[in-house]
Amino acid sequence: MIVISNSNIIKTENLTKVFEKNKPCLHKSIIKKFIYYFKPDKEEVVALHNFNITIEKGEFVGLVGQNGAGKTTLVKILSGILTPNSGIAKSNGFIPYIQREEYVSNIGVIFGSRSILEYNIPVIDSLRLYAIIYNLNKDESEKRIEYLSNLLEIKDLLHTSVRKLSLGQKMRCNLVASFLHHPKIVFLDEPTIGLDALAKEKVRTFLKEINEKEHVTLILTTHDMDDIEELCERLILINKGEKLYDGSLNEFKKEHVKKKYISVTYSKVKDNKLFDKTKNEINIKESSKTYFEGEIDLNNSSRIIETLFNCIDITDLDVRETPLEDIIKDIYCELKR
Amino acid sequence: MVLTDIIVDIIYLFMMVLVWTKLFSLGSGQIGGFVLNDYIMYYIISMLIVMFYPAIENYFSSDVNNGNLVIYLIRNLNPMIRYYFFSMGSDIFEIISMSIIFIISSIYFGYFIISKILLFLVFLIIAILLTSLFRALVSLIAVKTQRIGGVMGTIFLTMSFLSGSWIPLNLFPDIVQKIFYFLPFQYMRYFPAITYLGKTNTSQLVFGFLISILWIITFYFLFKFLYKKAIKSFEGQGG
Repeated sequence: MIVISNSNIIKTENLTKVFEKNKPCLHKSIIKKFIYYFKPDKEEVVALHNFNITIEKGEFVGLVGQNGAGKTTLVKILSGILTPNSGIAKSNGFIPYIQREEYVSNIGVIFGSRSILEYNIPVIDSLRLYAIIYNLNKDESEKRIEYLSNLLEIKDLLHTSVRKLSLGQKMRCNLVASFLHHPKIVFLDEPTIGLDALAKEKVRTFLKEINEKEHVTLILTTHDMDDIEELCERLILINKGEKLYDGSLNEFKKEHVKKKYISVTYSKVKDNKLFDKTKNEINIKESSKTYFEGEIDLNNSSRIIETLFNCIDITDLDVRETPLEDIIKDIYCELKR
Repeated sequence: MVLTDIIVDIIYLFMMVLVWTKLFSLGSGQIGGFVLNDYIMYYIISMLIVMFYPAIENYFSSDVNNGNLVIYLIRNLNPMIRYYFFSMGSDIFEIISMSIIFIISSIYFGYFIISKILLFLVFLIIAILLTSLFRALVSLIAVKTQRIGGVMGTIFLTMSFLSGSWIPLNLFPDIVQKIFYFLPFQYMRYFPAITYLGKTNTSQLVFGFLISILWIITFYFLFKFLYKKAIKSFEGQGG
């Protein structure tokens, strides 16, 4: 029995999901190959292993992990599509994979690589069909479509058939369909995949606004770290079906950011000796006659910058934190080693 | 595509008319209790009924194989209902053109009687429910095996034969016809057609109605049970 408090909307306990896949046929004997054709050798792939999470109402959670880490499997279990091999999940008062039909009326799911709208008919007809499926009152659903279309700037696209839309336009229309019925939880599986910078920005602005205004719990899986940095307060890092990190994004950065990135443009060198000495403390990535950029140790950053002011005439200085993307990349590299 | 289908339907109908006209020209005025017009009308009705049968299994198996089924699992609507109406939408022109042929030939051959039409509509609805449930049930095989074409082909060929698609069931020996009364297949095509032709008496109608309702209930609960199991073993390929 899983106990879930009032403020929690999702809770999983020891969730494990194992998939079976065919082993490659390496037999040399033709008889064994023939037998393999009918009864292939199987191997087990663990997609999630004893996975525990608790998510509170209204939270915006980012799920990050390499391909095959188990993010989509987790989303599919929590949206009722897959059944775990062991463990239990409870979401919005339901066990998703057992009470799927009742449960799905209160959630929305976006799959970046699939469209939930009917391919051959205009967007508006698909949305009205969804309104009927979700049992929405006609006036209420029309108002909701108008409100969401304004937010996502798709009013001009409503009468175009889905097959004529670009990837970014399709995603924005899919978002309208997913938020149409005032869902309590929305799972977003790589919603910005393949979108251009402007389309990404529109999607992010919408998600931020709807999370703040309607307190919808949003669970986002993505490979784009800008999505996470701009939207999520909480980060869950998954690797091989297990949780590597679960906590606030700021804490994660504090824990993992050991360096800062500086770019310096200068007009003349005042003290050559000191400048050379200071440059040794900088992991220079790029340099020219009056410019250099590189990484400096976080603990010594203020001292190094102060020394630079003393030895060169700085015309422009830019100090940045290491991007989340690089931190995650370093973690992945370490895991591979 | 639609036009080709309509032309193929007309050619098939024309062939059947030729075959039966030739058979009747060889001698007797009745074969198996049917006159020539009954046979011509039988094939027209039979083809009209088939138009209402959706290709549920094709949609379901392709959605299982490419993982698109996930889209339908996140809606509180059974995907089979969507497949049914999607299929009906695709065949709407074929249905309309076949209905026109049906009405014109009914009037021409003198079969157009309101009470018969109403009775036919009742058994047509039963036939649609029965066939759709049967096809939905069979389509669940797609969750277990990737290529279902062969299995489906065999099942539907048998179903087609037993429902009287090629040869009306009245031409079978009496004992076989009695067995057919208890099976679901003749209620998918043969029974509604002969009801329209006025070849069924009241007791046959009542018996046929009860047996087909029993099969609908059986298929419905079997489908509900197996569908849950099938969805449980669906692995939702791809991200």
